[in-house]
Amino acid sequence: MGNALSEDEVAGRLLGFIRERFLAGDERRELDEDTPLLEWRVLDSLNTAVLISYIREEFGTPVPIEKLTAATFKNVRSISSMLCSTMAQAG
Amino acid sequence: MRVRDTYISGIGVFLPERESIESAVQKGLLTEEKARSQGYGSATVAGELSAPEMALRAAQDALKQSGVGPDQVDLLLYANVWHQGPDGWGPQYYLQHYLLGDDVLAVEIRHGCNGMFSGIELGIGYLRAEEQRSAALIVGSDNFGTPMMNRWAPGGGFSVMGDGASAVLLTKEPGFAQLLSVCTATFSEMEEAHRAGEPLFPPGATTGRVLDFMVRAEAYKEKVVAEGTGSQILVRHQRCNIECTNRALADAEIEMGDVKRAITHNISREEAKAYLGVLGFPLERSTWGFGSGVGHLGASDHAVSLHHLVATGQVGPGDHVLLCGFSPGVTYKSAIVKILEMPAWAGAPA
Repeated sequence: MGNALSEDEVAGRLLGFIRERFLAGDERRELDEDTPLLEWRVLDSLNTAVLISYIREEFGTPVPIEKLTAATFKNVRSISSMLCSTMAQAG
Repeated sequence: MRVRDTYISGIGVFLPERESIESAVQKGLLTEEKARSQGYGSATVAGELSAPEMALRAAQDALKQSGVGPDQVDLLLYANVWHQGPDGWGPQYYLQHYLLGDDVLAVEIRHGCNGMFSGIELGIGYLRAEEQRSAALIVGSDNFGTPMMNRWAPGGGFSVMGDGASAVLLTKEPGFAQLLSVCTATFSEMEEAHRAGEPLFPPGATTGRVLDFMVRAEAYKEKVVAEGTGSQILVRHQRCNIECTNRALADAEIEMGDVKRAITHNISREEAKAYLGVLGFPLERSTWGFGSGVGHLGASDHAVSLHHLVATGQVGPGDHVLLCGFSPGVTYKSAIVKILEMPAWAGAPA
């Protein structure tokens, strides 16, 4: 399903999910594509697993094992970029 | 580790009566909100029954099922995560005294909630080492109803602890199930996650410190965020988990789609769903529904749940079962078991 998705569309879905599942109040409005997810305490052990599971379900592709890095999960922009590149390669 | 030459010939289980979550909430041992969010219905509570006594009963059952005599067992490995009895004494000797006799190597292993897995791995190697060796008994048992522990809230919302024992009899002769693979991964940089904020000396158990994993987790989180290593650790944790299971599947020469049921530790619904979700396996096809009624049984979750699947006919000949989970260390374990036939104690196929 994800081959035709743009990075903006992927980022939009990720932002929506993260706002709904992990954030509350003002943080929901303030989160953007460049927000550092760990420093914001968005990602902890459970939330990281939840996010990886969500990506698999929502975009129909698991995060490739070699892409499971700190750089990939730095912020929503880096995750979106990785996902679009992965989906494009999958054809 | 690729395995084909070791079988499960018996699984003994001892589970005491269940106490409901509502009862714990009424006693003020758990908030209603936490009870709801974790999803447990009850936990098994042994009262005054000791862990070694439960282990003995489970071990007796495993031998009875298999037809293997106590004197035919070459190795006993006794896994636990909580205190078993008087200091300076080992619970494995209790099983030797009252069941197996003296002509057996008996060792206590403390490898956290993955202790049974480690026992199975070691057991396979021990059986392979000498041609005449035929059977290894791997036992797990714990009773969490002691001071220094609130079984209903041992740390955040991760789990509720249940009491019970399990015993897996491994044999070289074919049994009702065959081990196809057992794999381990370790991420020791995270060992501090389960001790942060507490001194190594004197050990908390000698000073009466209550176990609270959440306090340690928070202290660890503060540290790694300050050091700037948090992202790397969080992601590598998941990577180790996936790599371990991928290796177990590859060694078993199957794919995740071939797995009929998955068994992980009886952690809270949210934690179990996320853990299995990372592996691409739905919670609904795991044994969480059963596990949420007994609680997290320390090292015994997988053996007890596998027994449940067979006893209730939820798996049958030809089915593959994935056993997986992580525990302090951090160690990651994955194993693939293939059901070969229905033992006499099994229920009819569902």
